[in-house]
Amino acid sequence: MLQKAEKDNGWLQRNFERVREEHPNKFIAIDDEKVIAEGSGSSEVIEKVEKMGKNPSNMLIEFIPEKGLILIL
Amino acid sequence: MDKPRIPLQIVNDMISVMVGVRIRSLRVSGIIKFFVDTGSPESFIGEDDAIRMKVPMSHLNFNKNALMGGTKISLGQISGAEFSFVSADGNQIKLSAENFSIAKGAWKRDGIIHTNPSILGADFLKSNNLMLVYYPSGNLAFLRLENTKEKQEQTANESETATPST
Repeated sequence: MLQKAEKDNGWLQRNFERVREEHPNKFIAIDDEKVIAEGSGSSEVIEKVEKMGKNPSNMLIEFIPEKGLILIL
Repeated sequence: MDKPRIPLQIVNDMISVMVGVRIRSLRVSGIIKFFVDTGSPESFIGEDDAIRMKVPMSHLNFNKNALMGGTKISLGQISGAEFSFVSADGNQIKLSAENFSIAKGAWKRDGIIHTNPSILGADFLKSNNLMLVYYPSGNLAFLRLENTKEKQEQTANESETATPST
């Protein structure tokens, strides 16, 4: 499961610009190197993932900032 | 023998790592993307990730406050947290932390509610003898487990000392 999540994170790394164009300022869930759900909040995405019968605990759910919006920790 | 390395990923110029987390005391587990942030003295699991893992937030005592990017967050300490990483050669590396927290706190921008990300801070790197190597222009980042052999030898020596001679 961890290796699968790492693979999904690697996919996001390689496809970040395309994902950002398609899902700006959205939370997205990634499973098997695909965006399977999006929403304005993480709880909305978690709900969608659960409705698909999948476990969100083991999935990459991420906020994608629009271009120009910098996230600073 | 080479010291074990944990590859890190660089997405949008931020260093992250996927980690399998198990919190024995709360009986929850899941996979979390942690940002590695040496600017943070504290390590914690962000609220979104905690909710996703079904952490019973009402069981925690959020008695510590911190400022993160100008936003006040509350930290609730947890015990018995275990962390699984995948090493560069595909093996599992298990680490733990005496002090680890769950963060609570959110802010709103353009109708979107944001919570804090999960952070592996300087305390985690220090307590687990991890060296961070980050070479942004080469798109390279990894954690290296230092002093594993020395630690093992030290543990072995301590065991020998503790064993009564016959």
